[in-house]
Amino acid sequence: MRETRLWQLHLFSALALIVLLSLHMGVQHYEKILTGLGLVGENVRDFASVAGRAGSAWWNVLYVLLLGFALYHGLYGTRRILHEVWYSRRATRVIDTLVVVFGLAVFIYGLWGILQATRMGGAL
Amino acid sequence: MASRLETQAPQAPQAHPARPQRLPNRLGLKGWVYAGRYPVERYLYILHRVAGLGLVLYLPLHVWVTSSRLQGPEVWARTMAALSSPLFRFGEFLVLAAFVFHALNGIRLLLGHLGFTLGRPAEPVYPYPIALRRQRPLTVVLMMVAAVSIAVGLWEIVVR
Repeated sequence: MRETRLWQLHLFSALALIVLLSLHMGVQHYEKILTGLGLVGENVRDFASVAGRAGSAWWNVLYVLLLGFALYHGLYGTRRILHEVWYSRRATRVIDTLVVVFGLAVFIYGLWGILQATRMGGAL
Repeated sequence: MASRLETQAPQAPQAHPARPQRLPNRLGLKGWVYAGRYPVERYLYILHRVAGLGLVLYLPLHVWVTSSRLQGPEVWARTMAALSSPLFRFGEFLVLAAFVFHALNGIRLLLGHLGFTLGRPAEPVYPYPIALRRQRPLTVVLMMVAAVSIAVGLWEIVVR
């Protein structure tokens, strides 16, 4: 893929993350305010609450999108910084390979966790 | 007596002529984190990168820690109890602050990348127009929103 396309995807993932990650961080870190407004239930980190979200298709779609966009956005940015620090053709190839392998490994592990949790949520 | 130039062996052709030239980087890491007398937006950009790197480091840890829910309620409760120490709570606050700052400063950068906050092209007449001055009000508003959001997040973490 050409560098321009990668950069455009970086910008698009930033827009998506502003929405998705704000939702995730809002629920997890602004619990008291959102509970006061009646937008979420209390104790969002209790196991029952976590399992309840794991059984929700909407939350699972959000988590998969969040994982993919966050990994792409973060690792693209890391790659650009590493390219500035170590600049040579060989370093570029090594950095690109490591970033892709690391990103895929974390994505597959995270996806496996979300799918396993879906079963757990459905069982409750 | 042969001149100095004549005694030198001819240079061998470069093995990789298209290889990019390695330019001197005398400032090193200092040049990466020190912006001298550039405007505040340049320092926000440096902080943006630092916050982003922190979030990238945190993401795999977050995926790993949250996967402990798969081992059942007891393991999850133990994990949450371990993460409720002051040190981890401070770390949680840093993650929240990094996200809030990165997201709001990212809106400024995104608008700049797409050309919305740069202003119309103008003749380069001294004193030269600086695009960053045009987006200064936006910078101030976004950083105020970030400060309030981070303060509220700190309150939530402290009183939890």
